[in-house]
Amino acid sequence: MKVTIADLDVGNLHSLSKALEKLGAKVEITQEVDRWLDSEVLVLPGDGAFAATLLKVKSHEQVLAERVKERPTLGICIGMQILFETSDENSDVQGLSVLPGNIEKLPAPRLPHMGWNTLEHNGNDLFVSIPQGAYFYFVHSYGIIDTEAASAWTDYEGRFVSAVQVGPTSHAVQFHPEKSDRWGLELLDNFLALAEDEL
Amino acid sequence: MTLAKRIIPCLDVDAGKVVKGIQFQDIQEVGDPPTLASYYEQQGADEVVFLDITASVEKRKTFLDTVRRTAEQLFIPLTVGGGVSTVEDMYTTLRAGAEKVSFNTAAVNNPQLISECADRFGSQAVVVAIDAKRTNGSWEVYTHGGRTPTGKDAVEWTKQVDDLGAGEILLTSMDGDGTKDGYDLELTRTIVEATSIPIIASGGGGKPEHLYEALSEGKAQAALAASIFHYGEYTVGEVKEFLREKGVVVR
Repeated sequence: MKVTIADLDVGNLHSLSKALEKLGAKVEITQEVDRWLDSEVLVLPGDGAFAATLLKVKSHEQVLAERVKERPTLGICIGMQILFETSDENSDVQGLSVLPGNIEKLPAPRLPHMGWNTLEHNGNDLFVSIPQGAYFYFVHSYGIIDTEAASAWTDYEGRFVSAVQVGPTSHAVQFHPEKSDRWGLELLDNFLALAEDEL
Repeated sequence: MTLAKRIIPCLDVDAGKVVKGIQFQDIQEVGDPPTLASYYEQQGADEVVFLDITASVEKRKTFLDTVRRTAEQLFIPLTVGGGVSTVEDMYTTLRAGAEKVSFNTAAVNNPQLISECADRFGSQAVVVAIDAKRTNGSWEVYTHGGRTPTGKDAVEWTKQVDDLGAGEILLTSMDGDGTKDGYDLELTRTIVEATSIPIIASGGGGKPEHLYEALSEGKAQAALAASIFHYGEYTVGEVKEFLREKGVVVR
Protein backbone atom coordinates (compact mmCIF):
# COMPACT_ATOMS: atom_id res chain seq x y z
CA MET A 1 0.00 0.00 0.00
CA LYS A 2 1.21 3.47 -0.85
CA VAL A 3 1.16 6.12 1.86
CA THR A 4 1.65 9.79 1.05
CA ILE A 5 3.27 11.97 3.69
CA ALA A 6 2.49 15.66 3.34
CA ASP A 7 5.85 17.41 3.57
CA LEU A 8 5.28 20.69 5.38
CA ASP A 9 9.02 21.35 5.20
CA VAL A 10 9.43 21.68 8.94
CA GLY A 11 10.72 18.86 11.06
CA ASN A 12 11.85 15.30 10.88
CA LEU A 13 9.91 13.09 8.43
CA HIS A 14 12.62 10.47 8.27
CA SER A 15 11.47 8.55 11.36
CA LEU A 16 7.84 8.60 10.23
CA SER A 17 8.61 7.28 6.77
CA LYS A 18 10.93 4.60 8.15
CA ALA A 19 8.29 3.50 10.65
CA LEU A 20 5.68 3.16 7.88
CA GLU A 21 8.15 1.32 5.65
CA LYS A 22 9.01 -1.05 8.47
CA LEU A 23 5.29 -1.89 8.61
CA GLY A 24 5.24 -2.69 4.89
CA ALA A 25 3.99 0.55 3.34
CA LYS A 26 5.46 2.24 0.27
CA VAL A 27 6.07 5.83 1.25
CA GLU A 28 5.96 8.98 -0.85
CA ILE A 29 7.00 12.29 0.72
CA THR A 30 5.83 15.33 -1.21
CA GLN A 31 5.25 19.05 -0.89
CA GLU A 32 2.72 19.09 -3.78
CA VAL A 33 -0.77 19.62 -2.43
CA ASP A 34 -2.32 17.96 -5.50
CA ARG A 35 -0.57 14.73 -4.61
CA TRP A 36 -1.96 14.93 -1.08
CA LEU A 37 -5.45 15.32 -2.49
CA ASP A 38 -5.06 12.37 -4.89
CA SER A 39 -3.39 10.09 -2.37
CA GLU A 40 -4.82 6.73 -1.37
CA VAL A 41 -3.64 7.07 2.19
CA LEU A 42 -2.51 10.41 3.59
CA VAL A 43 -0.46 11.28 6.66
CA LEU A 44 -0.45 14.89 7.81
CA PRO A 45 2.51 15.17 10.16
CA GLY A 46 3.76 18.34 11.70
CA ASP A 47 5.90 20.08 14.19
CA GLY A 48 5.94 23.81 14.32
CA ALA A 49 3.24 26.41 14.50
CA PHE A 50 -0.45 26.36 13.52
CA ALA A 51 -0.24 29.28 11.08
CA ALA A 52 3.03 28.20 9.45
CA THR A 53 1.60 24.76 8.82
CA LEU A 54 -1.61 26.10 7.30
CA LEU A 55 0.38 28.38 5.04
CA LYS A 56 1.48 25.28 3.13
CA VAL A 57 -2.11 24.34 2.28
CA LYS A 58 -3.15 27.84 1.36
CA SER A 59 -6.16 28.06 -0.99
CA HIS A 60 -6.70 24.29 -0.80
CA GLU A 61 -8.30 24.23 2.64
CA GLN A 62 -11.72 23.11 1.55
CA VAL A 63 -10.67 20.32 -0.81
CA LEU A 64 -8.16 19.06 1.68
CA ALA A 65 -10.82 19.05 4.41
CA GLU A 66 -13.08 16.94 2.17
CA ARG A 67 -10.19 14.59 1.41
CA VAL A 68 -9.43 14.15 5.08
CA LYS A 69 -13.02 13.31 5.98
CA GLU A 70 -13.65 10.86 3.17
CA ARG A 71 -10.50 8.82 2.64
CA PRO A 72 -7.91 7.25 4.98
CA THR A 73 -5.97 10.00 6.73
CA LEU A 74 -3.85 10.20 9.85
CA GLY A 75 -3.05 13.59 11.38
CA ILE A 76 -0.13 13.82 13.80
CA CYS A 77 0.50 16.61 16.35
CA ILE A 78 0.00 19.90 14.44
CA GLY A 79 -1.51 17.67 11.75
CA MET A 80 -4.30 17.04 14.26
CA GLN A 81 -4.63 20.64 15.44
CA ILE A 82 -5.09 22.11 11.93
CA LEU A 83 -8.22 19.96 11.52
CA PHE A 84 -10.04 22.27 13.95
CA GLU A 85 -11.44 25.75 13.29
CA THR A 86 -9.11 28.01 15.23
CA SER A 87 -6.14 28.05 17.58
CA ASP A 88 -5.09 30.43 20.33
CA GLU A 89 -1.56 30.02 18.97
CA ASN A 90 -2.42 32.10 15.88
CA SER A 91 -5.88 33.55 16.39
CA ASP A 92 -6.05 35.32 13.01
CA VAL A 93 -5.74 32.11 10.98
CA GLN A 94 -8.58 29.75 10.06
CA GLY A 95 -7.96 26.00 10.36
CA LEU A 96 -9.27 23.32 7.99
CA SER A 97 -12.46 23.18 10.07
CA VAL A 98 -13.01 19.47 9.56
CA LEU A 99 -14.03 19.45 13.22
CA PRO A 100 -15.58 22.26 15.25
CA GLY A 101 -13.56 23.71 18.11
CA ASN A 102 -10.69 25.90 19.20
CA ILE A 103 -7.16 24.74 20.06
CA GLU A 104 -6.12 26.15 23.44
CA LYS A 105 -2.88 26.51 25.33
CA LEU A 106 -2.72 23.68 27.87
CA PRO A 107 -3.45 24.90 31.41
CA ALA A 108 -0.12 23.64 32.79
CA PRO A 109 2.66 25.69 34.39
CA ARG A 110 5.45 23.93 32.51
CA LEU A 111 5.24 23.73 28.71
CA PRO A 112 5.80 22.13 26.25
CA HIS A 113 4.16 18.98 27.55
CA MET A 114 7.22 16.97 26.56
CA GLY A 115 7.80 13.30 27.13
CA TRP A 116 5.96 10.05 27.73
CA ASN A 117 2.40 10.08 29.00
CA THR A 118 -0.43 7.57 29.11
CA LEU A 119 -3.84 7.65 27.51
CA GLU A 120 -7.29 6.17 27.95
CA HIS A 121 -9.08 5.35 24.70
CA ASN A 122 -12.50 4.25 23.45
CA GLY A 123 -11.25 1.08 21.76
CA ASN A 124 -11.91 2.14 18.16
CA ASP A 125 -10.08 0.64 15.16
CA LEU A 126 -6.98 2.73 15.78
CA PHE A 127 -6.60 1.63 19.40
CA VAL A 128 -8.18 -1.81 19.25
CA SER A 129 -5.00 -3.73 20.16
CA ILE A 130 -3.53 -1.14 22.50
CA PRO A 131 -3.91 -1.47 26.28
CA GLN A 132 -5.48 1.30 28.34
CA GLY A 133 -2.74 3.30 30.02
CA ALA A 134 -0.16 2.64 27.29
CA TYR A 135 2.59 5.28 27.03
CA PHE A 136 3.05 7.57 24.00
CA TYR A 137 5.52 10.37 23.27
CA PHE A 138 4.09 13.90 23.36
CA VAL A 139 5.62 17.28 22.48
CA HIS A 140 3.17 20.18 22.35
CA SER A 141 1.97 23.25 24.21
CA TYR A 142 -1.49 23.54 22.63
CA GLY A 143 -4.30 21.04 22.34
CA ILE A 144 -8.02 20.42 22.14
CA ILE A 145 -9.52 20.23 25.62
CA ASP A 146 -12.82 18.64 24.65
CA THR A 147 -14.59 17.53 21.46
CA GLU A 148 -17.31 15.07 20.54
CA ALA A 149 -14.87 13.45 18.11
CA ALA A 150 -12.52 12.43 20.97
CA SER A 151 -11.28 8.85 20.97
CA ALA A 152 -8.50 9.13 23.58
CA TRP A 153 -7.72 11.34 26.57
CA THR A 154 -4.54 12.21 28.47
CA ASP A 155 -3.87 14.08 31.68
CA TYR A 156 -1.21 16.74 32.09
CA GLU A 157 -2.24 18.97 34.98
CA GLY A 158 -5.71 18.65 33.47
CA ARG A 159 -7.39 16.41 30.92
CA PHE A 160 -7.14 17.02 27.19
CA VAL A 161 -8.01 15.07 24.05
CA SER A 162 -5.08 13.03 22.73
CA ALA A 163 -6.83 11.49 19.69
CA VAL A 164 -9.90 12.09 17.54
CA GLN A 165 -11.81 10.17 14.90
CA VAL A 166 -12.40 12.43 11.93
CA GLY A 167 -14.16 10.10 9.48
CA PRO A 168 -14.80 6.38 8.93
CA THR A 169 -11.10 5.74 8.24
CA SER A 170 -9.60 9.04 9.31
CA HIS A 171 -8.00 9.73 12.65
CA ALA A 172 -5.68 12.23 14.26
CA VAL A 173 -3.41 12.00 17.28
CA GLN A 174 -1.71 14.64 19.39
CA PHE A 175 1.29 12.44 20.22
CA HIS A 176 4.01 11.13 17.90
CA PRO A 177 3.37 7.45 17.11
CA GLU A 178 6.59 7.29 15.05
CA LYS A 179 8.55 8.12 18.22
CA SER A 180 6.42 6.11 20.64
CA ASP A 181 8.30 2.83 20.53
CA ARG A 182 6.23 -0.37 20.57
CA TRP A 183 2.70 1.03 20.98
CA GLY A 184 3.35 3.78 18.47
CA LEU A 185 4.26 1.23 15.83
CA GLU A 186 1.22 -0.82 16.83
CA LEU A 187 -1.01 2.22 16.29
CA LEU A 188 0.49 2.95 12.87
CA ASP A 189 -0.01 -0.71 11.98
CA ASN A 190 -3.67 -0.45 13.03
CA PHE A 191 -4.06 2.64 10.86
CA LEU A 192 -2.56 0.87 7.85
CA ALA A 193 -4.88 -2.09 8.44
CA LEU A 194 -8.01 0.04 8.50
CA ALA A 195 -6.84 1.95 5.43
CA GLU A 196 -6.21 -1.37 3.67
CA ASP A 197 -9.77 -2.51 4.45
CA GLU A 198 -11.10 0.68 2.93
CA LEU A 199 -9.14 0.39 -0.34
CA MET B 1 -2.02 9.32 34.54
CA THR B 2 0.82 11.75 34.56
CA LEU B 3 3.85 12.74 32.57
CA ALA B 4 6.69 10.27 33.25
CA LYS B 5 10.19 11.36 34.26
CA ARG B 6 12.62 10.64 31.43
CA ILE B 7 15.92 8.73 31.52
CA ILE B 8 18.25 9.71 28.70
CA PRO B 9 21.55 8.03 27.79
CA CYS B 10 24.05 10.29 26.01
CA LEU B 11 26.70 9.23 23.49
CA ASP B 12 29.75 11.26 22.44
CA VAL B 13 30.27 10.67 18.73
CA ASP B 14 33.42 11.42 16.72
CA ALA B 15 33.55 10.75 12.96
CA GLY B 16 30.66 8.32 13.11
CA LYS B 17 31.98 6.31 16.04
CA VAL B 18 31.25 6.40 19.74
CA VAL B 19 34.30 8.00 21.37
CA LYS B 20 35.02 5.30 23.87
CA GLY B 21 34.00 1.83 22.84
CA ILE B 22 31.24 0.65 25.07
CA GLN B 23 31.33 -2.62 26.91
CA PHE B 24 28.05 -4.35 27.56
CA GLN B 25 27.84 -7.46 29.69
CA ASP B 26 26.57 -9.70 26.97
CA ILE B 27 28.20 -8.41 23.80
CA GLN B 28 31.55 -7.38 22.40
CA GLU B 29 32.66 -3.79 22.55
CA VAL B 30 30.43 -1.72 20.29
CA GLY B 31 31.37 1.58 18.67
CA ASP B 32 28.51 1.95 16.23
CA PRO B 33 26.08 4.69 17.40
CA PRO B 34 22.93 3.30 15.69
CA THR B 35 23.49 -0.12 17.26
CA LEU B 36 24.01 1.40 20.70
CA ALA B 37 20.99 3.68 20.41
CA SER B 38 18.85 0.63 19.63
CA TYR B 39 20.23 -1.24 22.65
CA TYR B 40 19.22 1.65 24.85
CA GLU B 41 15.80 1.77 23.25
CA GLN B 42 15.34 -1.93 24.06
CA GLN B 43 16.42 -1.27 27.65
CA GLY B 44 13.66 1.31 28.01
CA ALA B 45 15.49 4.60 27.37
CA ASP B 46 13.01 7.44 26.84
CA GLU B 47 15.25 9.37 24.44
CA VAL B 48 18.83 9.25 23.23
CA VAL B 49 21.24 12.19 22.91
CA PHE B 50 24.14 12.24 20.44
CA LEU B 51 26.82 14.81 21.00
CA ASP B 52 29.02 15.43 17.96
CA ILE B 53 32.50 16.23 19.21
CA THR B 54 33.92 16.42 15.69
CA ALA B 55 35.68 19.60 14.70
CA SER B 56 35.98 19.39 10.93
CA VAL B 57 33.42 20.01 8.22
CA GLU B 58 34.06 16.75 6.33
CA LYS B 59 33.50 14.75 9.47
CA ARG B 60 30.25 16.60 9.95
CA LYS B 61 28.87 14.82 6.87
CA THR B 62 29.84 11.49 8.39
CA PHE B 63 28.05 12.50 11.57
CA LEU B 64 24.83 13.43 9.73
CA ASP B 65 24.99 10.08 8.00
CA THR B 66 25.24 8.48 11.45
CA VAL B 67 22.15 10.41 12.54
CA ARG B 68 20.32 9.20 9.43
CA ARG B 69 21.27 5.56 9.99
CA THR B 70 20.22 5.83 13.64
CA ALA B 71 16.85 7.46 12.94
CA GLU B 72 16.00 4.70 10.47
CA GLN B 73 15.80 2.14 13.22
CA LEU B 74 15.14 4.19 16.35
CA PHE B 75 11.52 4.74 17.36
CA ILE B 76 12.12 7.00 20.34
CA PRO B 77 13.24 10.64 20.12
CA LEU B 78 16.82 11.49 19.19
CA THR B 79 18.39 14.79 20.23
CA VAL B 80 21.52 15.90 18.43
CA GLY B 81 23.98 18.50 19.66
CA GLY B 82 27.46 19.78 18.87
CA GLY B 83 28.61 21.78 15.89
CA VAL B 84 25.17 23.23 15.14
CA SER B 85 25.36 26.98 14.75
CA THR B 86 22.83 28.19 12.15
CA VAL B 87 19.16 27.79 11.19
CA GLU B 88 20.38 25.88 8.13
CA ASP B 89 22.44 23.49 10.30
CA MET B 90 19.34 22.81 12.33
CA TYR B 91 17.31 22.14 9.20
CA THR B 92 19.78 19.57 7.84
CA THR B 93 20.04 17.90 11.25
CA LEU B 94 16.25 17.60 11.59
CA ARG B 95 15.91 16.32 8.06
CA ALA B 96 18.55 13.70 8.82
CA GLY B 97 16.18 12.37 11.46
CA ALA B 98 16.82 14.21 14.73
CA GLU B 99 13.75 15.12 16.76
CA LYS B 100 15.45 17.95 18.60
CA VAL B 101 18.62 19.94 18.10
CA SER B 102 20.74 21.25 20.93
CA PHE B 103 22.65 24.56 20.84
CA ASN B 104 25.37 25.59 23.26
CA THR B 105 28.17 27.98 22.23
CA ALA B 106 26.23 29.24 19.19
CA ALA B 107 23.29 30.28 21.40
CA VAL B 108 25.54 32.21 23.77
CA ASN B 109 27.26 33.98 20.86
CA ASN B 110 23.96 34.75 19.13
CA PRO B 111 20.90 34.44 21.40
CA GLN B 112 18.60 35.48 18.51
CA LEU B 113 19.40 32.12 16.93
CA ILE B 114 17.13 30.51 19.55
CA SER B 115 14.07 32.52 18.51
CA GLU B 116 14.86 32.19 14.80
CA CYS B 117 14.98 28.40 15.13
CA ALA B 118 11.90 28.30 17.37
CA ASP B 119 9.93 30.38 14.83
CA ARG B 120 11.03 28.18 11.96
CA PHE B 121 10.80 24.72 13.52
CA GLY B 122 8.78 25.21 16.70
CA SER B 123 10.03 25.52 20.26
CA GLN B 124 9.63 21.80 20.82
CA ALA B 125 12.65 21.10 18.58
CA VAL B 126 15.01 23.65 20.16
CA VAL B 127 17.13 22.54 23.09
CA VAL B 128 19.68 24.85 24.69
CA ALA B 129 22.57 23.13 26.44
CA ILE B 130 24.02 25.10 29.33
CA ASP B 131 27.33 24.17 30.96
CA ALA B 132 27.45 25.75 34.41
CA LYS B 133 30.26 25.94 36.94
CA ARG B 134 30.10 27.14 40.54
CA THR B 135 31.89 30.44 41.13
CA ASN B 136 31.58 32.52 44.29
CA GLY B 137 28.17 31.32 45.35
CA SER B 138 26.55 31.37 41.93
CA TRP B 139 26.96 29.52 38.63
CA GLU B 140 28.77 30.78 35.55
CA VAL B 141 28.05 29.70 31.97
CA TYR B 142 30.95 28.13 30.06
CA THR B 143 31.16 27.49 26.32
CA HIS B 144 33.39 25.59 23.87
CA GLY B 145 32.97 22.29 25.67
CA GLY B 146 33.58 23.86 29.05
CA ARG B 147 36.82 25.63 28.14
CA THR B 148 35.65 29.25 27.92
CA PRO B 149 34.12 31.22 30.80
CA THR B 150 31.54 33.73 29.57
CA GLY B 151 30.87 35.85 32.65
CA LYS B 152 27.16 35.07 32.21
CA ASP B 153 25.14 34.02 35.23
CA ALA B 154 23.58 30.60 34.55
CA VAL B 155 20.23 31.41 36.16
CA GLU B 156 19.85 34.67 34.24
CA TRP B 157 20.90 32.98 31.00
CA THR B 158 18.37 30.22 31.57
CA LYS B 159 15.55 32.73 31.99
CA GLN B 160 16.63 34.49 28.80
CA VAL B 161 16.74 31.20 26.90
CA ASP B 162 13.22 30.40 28.13
CA ASP B 163 11.96 33.84 27.00
CA LEU B 164 13.61 33.46 23.58
CA GLY B 165 11.51 30.37 22.89
CA ALA B 166 13.66 27.34 23.67
CA GLY B 167 11.61 24.21 24.32
CA GLU B 168 13.98 22.53 26.75
CA ILE B 169 17.24 23.02 28.63
CA LEU B 170 20.00 20.48 28.95
CA LEU B 171 21.71 21.60 32.12
CA THR B 172 25.19 20.24 32.82
CA SER B 173 26.99 20.84 36.07
CA MET B 174 30.66 21.06 35.15
CA ASP B 175 31.58 20.45 38.76
CA GLY B 176 29.71 17.17 38.69
CA ASP B 177 30.55 16.10 35.14
CA GLY B 178 32.66 12.97 35.03
CA THR B 179 32.89 12.66 38.83
CA LYS B 180 30.02 10.18 39.31
CA ASP B 181 29.47 11.91 42.65
CA GLY B 182 25.92 12.97 41.91
CA TYR B 183 24.19 15.86 40.15
CA ASP B 184 24.40 19.43 41.45
CA LEU B 185 20.96 19.38 43.05
CA GLU B 186 21.00 22.99 44.15
CA LEU B 187 21.82 24.17 40.62
CA THR B 188 19.19 21.87 39.10
CA ARG B 189 16.43 22.93 41.51
CA THR B 190 17.30 26.62 41.16
CA ILE B 191 17.06 26.42 37.37
CA VAL B 192 13.86 24.36 37.41
CA GLU B 193 12.20 26.90 39.69
CA ALA B 194 13.39 29.85 37.58
CA THR B 195 11.93 28.52 34.31
CA SER B 196 8.71 27.26 32.74
CA ILE B 197 10.15 24.70 30.30
CA PRO B 198 11.43 21.14 30.89
CA ILE B 199 14.92 20.76 32.38
CA ILE B 200 17.23 17.79 31.77
CA ALA B 201 19.76 17.36 34.61
CA SER B 202 23.23 16.27 33.55
CA GLY B 203 26.70 15.86 35.01
CA GLY B 204 27.61 13.57 37.88
CA GLY B 205 25.17 10.67 37.60
CA GLY B 206 27.11 7.64 38.82
CA LYS B 207 24.45 5.40 40.40
CA PRO B 208 20.65 5.04 40.45
CA GLU B 209 20.35 7.07 43.69
CA HIS B 210 21.85 10.06 41.87
CA LEU B 211 19.22 9.98 39.15
CA TYR B 212 16.56 9.65 41.83
CA GLU B 213 17.91 12.74 43.63
CA ALA B 214 17.99 14.79 40.40
CA LEU B 215 14.35 13.93 39.65
CA SER B 216 13.03 14.34 43.22
CA GLU B 217 15.07 16.84 45.23
CA GLY B 218 16.42 18.47 42.05
CA LYS B 219 12.90 18.54 40.53
CA ALA B 220 14.23 17.92 37.00
CA GLN B 221 11.89 16.57 34.31
CA ALA B 222 14.59 14.25 32.96
CA ALA B 223 18.02 12.92 33.90
CA LEU B 224 20.83 12.36 31.43
CA ALA B 225 23.73 10.02 32.09
CA ALA B 226 26.55 8.44 30.13
CA SER B 227 29.10 6.19 31.80
CA ILE B 228 26.65 4.59 34.24
CA PHE B 229 25.00 2.98 31.22
CA HIS B 230 27.96 2.67 28.89
CA TYR B 231 30.03 0.39 31.07
CA GLY B 232 27.20 -1.96 31.84
CA GLU B 233 27.12 -0.97 35.51
CA TYR B 234 23.36 -0.57 35.27
CA THR B 235 20.89 -0.95 32.45
CA VAL B 236 18.31 1.76 31.84
CA GLY B 237 15.73 -0.80 32.93
CA GLU B 238 17.46 -1.36 36.27
CA VAL B 239 17.62 2.37 36.95
CA LYS B 240 13.93 2.71 36.11
CA GLU B 241 13.05 -0.19 38.39
CA PHE B 242 14.91 1.55 41.20
CA LEU B 243 13.05 4.80 40.50
CA ARG B 244 9.69 3.01 40.38
CA GLU B 245 10.32 1.48 43.80
CA LYS B 246 11.04 4.98 45.08
CA GLY B 247 7.68 6.17 43.78
CA VAL B 248 8.92 8.07 40.71
CA VAL B 249 6.62 7.77 37.67
CA VAL B 250 8.62 6.26 34.81
CA ARG B 251 7.55 4.57 31.61
